[in-house]
Amino acid sequence: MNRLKLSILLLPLCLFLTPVQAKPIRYEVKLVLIDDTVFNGSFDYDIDTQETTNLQGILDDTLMGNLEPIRYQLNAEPDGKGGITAYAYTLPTAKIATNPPVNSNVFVAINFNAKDPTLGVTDITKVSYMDCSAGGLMGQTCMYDLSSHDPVFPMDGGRGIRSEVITKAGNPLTSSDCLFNWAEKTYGNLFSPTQSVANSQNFSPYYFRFYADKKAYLGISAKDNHVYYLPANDVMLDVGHAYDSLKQAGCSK
Amino acid sequence: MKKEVLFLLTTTAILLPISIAHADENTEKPVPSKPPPLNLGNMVIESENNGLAASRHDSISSEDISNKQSQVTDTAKLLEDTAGMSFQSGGGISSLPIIRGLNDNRVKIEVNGMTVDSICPNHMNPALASIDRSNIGSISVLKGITPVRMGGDSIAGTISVESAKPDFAIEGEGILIDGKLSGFYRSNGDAFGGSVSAGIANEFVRFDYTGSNTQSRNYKDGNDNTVKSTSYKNQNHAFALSFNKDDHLLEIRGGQQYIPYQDFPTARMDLSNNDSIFGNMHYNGIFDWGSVDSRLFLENTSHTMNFREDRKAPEPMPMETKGINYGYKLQFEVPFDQDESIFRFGSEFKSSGINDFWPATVNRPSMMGPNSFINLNKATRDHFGVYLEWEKPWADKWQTVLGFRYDRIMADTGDVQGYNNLSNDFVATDYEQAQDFNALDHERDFNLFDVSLLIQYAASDWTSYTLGYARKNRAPSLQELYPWSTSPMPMTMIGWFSDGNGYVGNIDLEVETAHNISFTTNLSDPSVEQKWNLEISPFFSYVEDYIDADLCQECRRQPGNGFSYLRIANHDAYLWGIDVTGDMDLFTDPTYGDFSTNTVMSYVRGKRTDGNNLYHMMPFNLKLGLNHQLGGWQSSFDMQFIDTKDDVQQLRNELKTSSYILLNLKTSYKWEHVSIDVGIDNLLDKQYYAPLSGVYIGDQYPMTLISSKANTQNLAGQGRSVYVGLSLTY
Repeated sequence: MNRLKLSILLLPLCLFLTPVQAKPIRYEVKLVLIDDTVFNGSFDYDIDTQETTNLQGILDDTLMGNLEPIRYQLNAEPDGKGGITAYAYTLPTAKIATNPPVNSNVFVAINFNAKDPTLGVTDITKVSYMDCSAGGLMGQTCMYDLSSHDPVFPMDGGRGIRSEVITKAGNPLTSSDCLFNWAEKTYGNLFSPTQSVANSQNFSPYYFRFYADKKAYLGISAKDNHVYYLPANDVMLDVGHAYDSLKQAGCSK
Repeated sequence: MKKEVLFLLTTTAILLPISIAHADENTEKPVPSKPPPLNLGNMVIESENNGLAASRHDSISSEDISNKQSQVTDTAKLLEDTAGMSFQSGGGISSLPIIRGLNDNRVKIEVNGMTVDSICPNHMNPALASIDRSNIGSISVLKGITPVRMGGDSIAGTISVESAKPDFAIEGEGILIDGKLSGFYRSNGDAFGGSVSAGIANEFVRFDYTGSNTQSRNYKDGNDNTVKSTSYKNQNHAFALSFNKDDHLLEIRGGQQYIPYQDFPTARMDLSNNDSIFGNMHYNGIFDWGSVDSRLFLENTSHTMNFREDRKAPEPMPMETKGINYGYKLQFEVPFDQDESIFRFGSEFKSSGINDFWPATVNRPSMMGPNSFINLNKATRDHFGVYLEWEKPWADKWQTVLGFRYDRIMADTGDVQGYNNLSNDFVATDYEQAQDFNALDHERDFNLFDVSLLIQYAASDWTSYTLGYARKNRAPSLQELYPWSTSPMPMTMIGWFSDGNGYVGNIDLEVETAHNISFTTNLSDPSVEQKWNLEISPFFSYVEDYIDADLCQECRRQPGNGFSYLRIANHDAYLWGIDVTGDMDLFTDPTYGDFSTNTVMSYVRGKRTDGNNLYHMMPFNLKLGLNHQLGGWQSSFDMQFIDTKDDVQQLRNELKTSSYILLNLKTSYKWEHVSIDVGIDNLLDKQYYAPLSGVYIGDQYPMTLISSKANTQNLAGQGRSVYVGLSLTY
């Protein structure tokens, strides 16, 4: 945490010296799992920093017929094959398991080419899901598609083909910028003057805006997908997982 | 209050005729005359009640049944040589009979006078499965134009199964002891079984016991592939205590059936236990003014379904159904007009109760817990009926039977619940659907008015014509009305059509009303030898509000793999077809024996008025038999031709089937007390798919339709099977 604070404190200087002009882009993703379960979601990705944030969406558990929200991106990591694998969950925890089931959690993992997400997957075995929600839990068995698990899927069904399609979102506004805009409108006394997307900046792992009048920063960390607020007193505040703020701001799916 | 009235009615039904019997036992009684039966090959067509052939029915005699015991385990299959009869496959002993294209609930089935409904949401325990074939004395089939006394709450016809009538000792000849031991083995599926029946009687009282056990492993098809989920085991025990005094007969029957397993290759589940008991009291008496026949019955069933071994399911899926049926039947028959006419009137009541719940398998919120899923909560269906029937010969050549009937069906069910009490932001969960269902008034009452008219004209001593019209009604069953969940998993588990689809009920269903018309031409050899007979029966039925199905609009997604989620729904429909039966003596020689041939042909088509085909219409089929008899030696060679089924119902994704021919060979020899049967079914080991068997899904365990393998495979029929049976009578 001290390192985090330090980096935040040094942030203005770093920005002044070497401003990073690259911006994350919002992508939409459609994932079809081996049992025809479908995930429709979106995420923000910065090609230069190769940082992924705000993966969220809805898992349509085709086998069981239930729809589950995917809210919390908790991890994103290189796949060792030139790609990124990002994981998002229904609950703000990565704890989930089947036989016996752990939590009523649901997760989705997407994979994409780090140089350009629209190029598709680099490791299809990383594409996966597990649904341990009440609607997806059959006895002790969650519904899932996990290449590393034996068996790979618990129940027959579907076409047996994994596929993933990633496209640039029609609305280019990233979830992070959507949140920043909302914060400026809602809490003008904290975040002024009003900024634009062009004013959003990147300093890994943070994507943020600086508000000169208040000498305050508002950013999202790609490391934990949390929202951070750094006011003039330099005491940084962890606002919490971005999903909760995005939902409040109307920026979530 | 209602139950008290029903109890009073029920008690009255059984006590009234007995008290009448007591009052009149010393009066002079007429002995009704009965003409000799008309032999039609392997079927006996009997005239009923003073010989008015207008109410003629197909009847399977005890000898026919006995001859088939080695070959057939499924009681319903005893009727497969009856024109117009076809069968939807289920488990090894539970196929569902279809009369002229009208199936299942549309057929009224009485077993020793008890009308027993299948309580299972997959109809795994149909009425005909409740009695073993070894305990049957006769079966009657009335098709389409059923006299009102045999109808009510059915539109297809009536199948009446009766145990053998009790024999009493002749006065002065002491105690009568008789019985039968039999056993069989069939090579395909290693099916085997045995039965024992024993009776002891004096001239007034008789006690009978019948017990049987049959079981089979999975059978193999014509390609020598094992057809999974076709094994079964069935045990039956029944007793009867009969009292006979002059023209009064009182029978008290009771019994128990235990089916530890019966796999269902055309259903999503298997039967993993079925326990049922029954009690049945029957009184028949003849008085100077006529006769009375009454029944009082009670039947109770506990039925469990689950995935069995062949499906290799990762999780169990228990489904429990408790059912009860009780009721009475009361009929008076009064001859008048110098005994030429008969006036019949009667009443019947039957109450059915079903409690269908699916126990939780885990204690945490899930799709199978922590609650029990309640599909039908103490659902009841009470049926009260009264009728009047008048049978009259107008001249030597004209006879009529006219009947009117009123039935009232009262259905209701309690509140239901899903497996859990969770809501979801995106879909209506079972919890929310249950709340919506529970907010409805579940009580539904139906009034049914039936009319039946039969006119027979005997044009000559070898030609007769019978024209019949019947307006028949059937109220929706509990399973058609009340299953409430449109979620994928519950719907997948409900369906009794062998089509693999999932179903939800429809509480707004209307009564289906059939207008049945048939015209029968009977040509027969007028000579004493009765060397030939031919009967041709075209028929037509228009059914208002035929209970069929629609695609489920409330269901979020259809699977897209050839299966569908459907909602039970009314549609007008019409059916037409023709039944033909015939037989002829070919050659008689004292040295080589008697040679004869017989045939049964049927064809039926059915369409909804919106143009869609009806489901499970039997294509043209023909059975041709060549029979030989020399003393105690009897042999037959059968050829069965089934045409291509290409008129299928797209809504249910019904699969087409190809035409095929099966050859069956059988021979038997009977000594005085011993008989032996040997035969080969499907002599050429033909790979075939019976048109109405349904889809083969016995090798999988999908919890929802989308997790099912694609709908591409009909259930294969049995390959060659050699069987042998041995019977000992004493």
